[in-house]
Amino acid sequence: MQTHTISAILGALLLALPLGSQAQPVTQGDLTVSDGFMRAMPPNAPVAGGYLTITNNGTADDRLVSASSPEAGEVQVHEMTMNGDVMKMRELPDGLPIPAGQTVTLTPGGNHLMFLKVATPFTEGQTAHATLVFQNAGQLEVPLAVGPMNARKAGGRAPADPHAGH
Amino acid sequence: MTTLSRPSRPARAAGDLYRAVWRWHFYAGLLVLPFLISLSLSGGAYLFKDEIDGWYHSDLKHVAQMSDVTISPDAILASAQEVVPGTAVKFTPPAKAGDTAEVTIATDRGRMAVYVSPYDGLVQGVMPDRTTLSWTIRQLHSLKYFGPYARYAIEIAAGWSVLLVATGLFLWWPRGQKGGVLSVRGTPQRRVFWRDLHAVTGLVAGGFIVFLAVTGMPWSGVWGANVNEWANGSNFGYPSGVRVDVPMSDRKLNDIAQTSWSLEHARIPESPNVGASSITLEQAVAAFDRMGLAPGYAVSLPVTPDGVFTGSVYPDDLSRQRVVHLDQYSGKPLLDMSYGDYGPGGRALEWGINTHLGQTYGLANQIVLLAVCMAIILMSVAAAAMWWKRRPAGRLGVPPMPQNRRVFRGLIAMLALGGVIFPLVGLSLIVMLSLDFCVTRWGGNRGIAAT
Repeated sequence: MQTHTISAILGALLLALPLGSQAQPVTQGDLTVSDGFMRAMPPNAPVAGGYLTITNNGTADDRLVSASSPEAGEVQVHEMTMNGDVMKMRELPDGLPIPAGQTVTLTPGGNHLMFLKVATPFTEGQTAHATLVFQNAGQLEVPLAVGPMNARKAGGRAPADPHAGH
Repeated sequence: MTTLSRPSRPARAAGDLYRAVWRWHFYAGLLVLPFLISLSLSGGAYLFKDEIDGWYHSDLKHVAQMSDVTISPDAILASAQEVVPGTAVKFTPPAKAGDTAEVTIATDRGRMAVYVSPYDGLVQGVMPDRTTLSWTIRQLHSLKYFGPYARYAIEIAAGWSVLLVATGLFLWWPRGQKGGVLSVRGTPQRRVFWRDLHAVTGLVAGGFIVFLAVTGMPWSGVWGANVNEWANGSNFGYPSGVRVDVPMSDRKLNDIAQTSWSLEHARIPESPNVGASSITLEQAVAAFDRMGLAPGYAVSLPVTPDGVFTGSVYPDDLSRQRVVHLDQYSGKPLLDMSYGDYGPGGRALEWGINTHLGQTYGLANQIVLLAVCMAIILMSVAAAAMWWKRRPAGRLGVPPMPQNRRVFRGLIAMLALGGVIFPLVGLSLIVMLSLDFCVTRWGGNRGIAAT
């Protein structure tokens, strides 16, 4: 529960902070998707993670059912689970719940989108595109800014200082 | 034991020897019984290490086979490093269709094992290196789990088990009794039932116990380490017969990947000429495949400019043990060693180790050793039961001291010989002899005499 709270706070912070040249938030129905980003792919890399923040402003739960991209042969919604010291990553067969009034972040080391069969590797400065399909909100096109290889968040900078917004 | 109460002179001498041996059999058992049970449980399980890891870590080690085509090893490496940033140090290609590839990455939190699907490059999971269930069982078996010094106890226990078998055989030796040689007398209520069960099981398992104790010794902290250095110390740690005419680094094979006992101290050669660009992992893997390394081999990756690609495999089939170092720039083999290159001593030791691990003779090897492990546990239970039934209330019930202590001399001479060969065991024997001496000297026989 604590990590949920922390993610929510971090997500809210990310929303609140002006982060410069990055993809603009996209809103449709009750959902706002923002801070979409990816990492530049190292040579030979066969797959790439996609990260973004989804806020459900409504009163009904929604669900990210699937995703696709013109730049990738396939996009999967993945969950990351920790069991002791063992980390596992799997496709979520039923998609990712977006509870009413909450913010869900897809981050490196957490739940994420997985771009497979990428024809041309993503490079820094480029913008990738994903189409997200939600159970209620329907389809949503979102841009993902490609940052450096080690990017931890949108805009490619170090994690925000919690006091920076004061 | 009423036959011992009023014997004639020659019978008393024989009875004295019997008592002396029995006393030491008792001491040895008391000391090593807990270790033997722990070694049998962990060892019996570790015989099935591949089966155990394949089952317990199935979701990391296996994926649904999607096609006959796999992506390149370099792509698998890149995918693993995307999830776990760090220096890739080892790559283990899938041994068969449906297996994941394993990439070992050195990070500031230690080495991590990353399991990657070779079909789509998706990382299935990550765990700290060498923490699979079978690794944990192995560390429990060697007691390394409890720190670097605990394993010395195993060396002592192994030596004492040989003593147990030798003294046990002497005690078993038929002396005209009507049963308890190959048959079990009585019922579980009676002590003789447990004595016979122990003796008959021991007769069958004894040889195997000595085998396991002796072949386990090469891993031990004092004897094993010294013999390893002595056997492989020259020639850069390579077994005699292996020509070593390439530049050598200070790193040892054991530092980069699990290796055979004989090669633990073998140093890794250097790529002689630093070139402009390294061959790709795909080219290295192709070279190892071309050279016929058995499936399941691991590739240690060069991490320095003069480093090498090292392909190594230690399969169940001893003759296919192989270590090949490739120049990371030219891709040419610098050193190519197989079981056939070891000397006769090295081959014998590696055979012993491989058989101890239950690998040499396949499933039969595993089943026979599992049966021995179960026999050891049965004997331990029987030993505890017969001691409990014989033991005077509230006392330890050490078998009585022989009246003529000279019979000890032969026994001690034998122990001394064993003690010189296995110094740590010898040291523990001296401690036990002194304790026994003190107990009988100052404690008298009052507290410990039995029946």
